[in-house]
Amino acid sequence: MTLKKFSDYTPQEQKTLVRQAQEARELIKKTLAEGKPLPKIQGVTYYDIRKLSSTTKGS
Amino acid sequence: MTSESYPLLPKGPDQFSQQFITDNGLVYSILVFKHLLLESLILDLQINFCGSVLEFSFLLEEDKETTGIDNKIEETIISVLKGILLNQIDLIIIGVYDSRDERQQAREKLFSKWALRHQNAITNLFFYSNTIATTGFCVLTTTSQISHSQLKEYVNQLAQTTYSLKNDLP
Repeated sequence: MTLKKFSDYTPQEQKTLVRQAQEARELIKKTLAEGKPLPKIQGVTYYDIRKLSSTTKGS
Repeated sequence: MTSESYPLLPKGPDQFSQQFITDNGLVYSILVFKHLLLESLILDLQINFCGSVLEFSFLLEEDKETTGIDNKIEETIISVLKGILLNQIDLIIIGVYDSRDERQQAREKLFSKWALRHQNAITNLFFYSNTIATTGFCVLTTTSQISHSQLKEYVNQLAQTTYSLKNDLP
């Protein structure tokens, strides 16, 4: 799914986006709670907290 | 209030998440990630925002319960957020209150208390939280690219959209 304004998605696509976010969140939490490496999930990008905390200001 | 924080473990089970272990032996994980819903909703605000919107999550290992008040947990999590916000000036961090055990409102109350208590330690920190039934989100940011009213609108929209659509999924 290409990134565009939320309101430009069809109602069905909006539901899909919400469902994907929800499923991703639940899968990530389950995996982390089990102490396993993070899963690859379509549309999800992970960030290294150490790098975010040490980069020069600006993103 | 100043209190010691827990050291972050040098490596988690992957290269992204961070862990820390409390004095009671509880293991917490912290993670930051991005997904399409956060990005597409902010485009609806019709603003020229060129930063990032990331979701922040922290949780306790499976099948464990917290035991009493441990201020070092608060200090550790807030110090991680502070480190990110002080170094990434145009970043919006979204927190989601876990509702799997229906304690999302208690989490909102606790996290709001933490954020407000540390507000002075993070220059220009804006914090706002909204829970609709079982769906709760908050925002933490220092960006000046978006007004506070727009950030509130964004969080309200995120909570409302998620709540209404997740209860109407096919």
